[in-house]
Amino acid sequence: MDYDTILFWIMIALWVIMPTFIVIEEIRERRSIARDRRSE
Amino acid sequence: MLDLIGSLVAQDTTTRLIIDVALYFGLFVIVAMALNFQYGNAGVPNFGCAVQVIVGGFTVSAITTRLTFALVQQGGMVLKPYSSDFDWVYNNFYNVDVIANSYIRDKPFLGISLLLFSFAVALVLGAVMGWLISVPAIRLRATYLMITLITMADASQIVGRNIVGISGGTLGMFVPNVFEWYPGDRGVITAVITLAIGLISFFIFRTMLNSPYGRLMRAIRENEITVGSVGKNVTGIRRNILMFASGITALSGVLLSFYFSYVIEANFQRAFWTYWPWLMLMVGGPGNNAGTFLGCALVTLMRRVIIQYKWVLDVYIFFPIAYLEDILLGTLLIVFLIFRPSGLIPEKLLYIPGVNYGKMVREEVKVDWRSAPKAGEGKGKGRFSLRRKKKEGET
Repeated sequence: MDYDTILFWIMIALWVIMPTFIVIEEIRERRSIARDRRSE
Repeated sequence: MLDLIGSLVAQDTTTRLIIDVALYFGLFVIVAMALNFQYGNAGVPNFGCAVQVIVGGFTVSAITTRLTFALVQQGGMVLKPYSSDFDWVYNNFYNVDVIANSYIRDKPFLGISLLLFSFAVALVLGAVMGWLISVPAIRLRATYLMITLITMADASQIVGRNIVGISGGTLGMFVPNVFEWYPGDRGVITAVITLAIGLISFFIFRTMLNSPYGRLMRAIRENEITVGSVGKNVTGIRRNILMFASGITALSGVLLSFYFSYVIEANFQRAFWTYWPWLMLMVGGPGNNAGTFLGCALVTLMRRVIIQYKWVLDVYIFFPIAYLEDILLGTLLIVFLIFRPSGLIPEKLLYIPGVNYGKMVREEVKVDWRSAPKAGEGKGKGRFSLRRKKKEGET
């Protein structure tokens, strides 16, 4: 079994998941802040 | 040595490059997140990140290696002597590569335990180092604190260079490969663990920043006198922040040491482990995790491109090409400080789910400034009353 290939793709997945998650969260927070401002 | 080199070229160049970039990205994410936690949110300008990274590296070389030797000897293997400085350096390769690594090879549990042990010790020692550097420096103003921390980063490197028992002095030393049991390439598994720890540290910092403690940190950054006046121990909080972030930063030193399976103080240079994380923070934008992440990605990519292609420019440049990376990235830092000090992603207001601060302040703190008396209004005996001054001038 080629463990290197499996781990390599796990590494790529982590590399993609991390920024994606952070960007999504950032966008959500900014939207919520903007919504709060509008509701004021 | 040949085994180490053989392991590094086991895969093709592109894959090796991707693994290398991923690993350094993960390491810098850990350091830059910790720096963002300290500077971006609490206003503690930590210019001594290299100290904490070096603590991680020295943990592996001075403590984990000795523990491994003790375990190997208990397991019935015979090591060459390693008690004196001379033996520690010159018998190191035999003891590590021939004996210790072959002992770990069929014991994955031992390898993982050594890795976790290194993490735990590095966390504790990193926090202790954070406390130590905070003792003389934490009460100082930003500039002096920065100078003290830069000095400490250099001092820790000098200590490593001169005390052979820590990391082999100027020659460096090999450390046991805790992934020896893994049938593939050590670099891939180290990169995966590094990225995973980067992700976990992001969650930890995010949780802390969204907690009441995070709001307190921001309050200290904005105005520490106000926070101190309401009874908070500002110095103690800044010290705690430095200790916590130092512990997390030390993890990157551990991971770097296991990636190379080799520790030398020259690997933990101040410019590399302090100025580049600062550049990442300034490029991305201090005070928000997304910015730190973006800064890490951009600077890691730029560094790699410069390192890869700078030789093309060699004939056109009058200075040694080795300095091109430092010059370009230093220029980038200056450009960002002049034209975009808040970074590519400026800091936003704190958002806590379910809490609308603006609304809360208006509803609960009913301050009507229009009804408050103006200074000097009324009897004309105010401190800045013109009438009173005129009277005094007359008399």
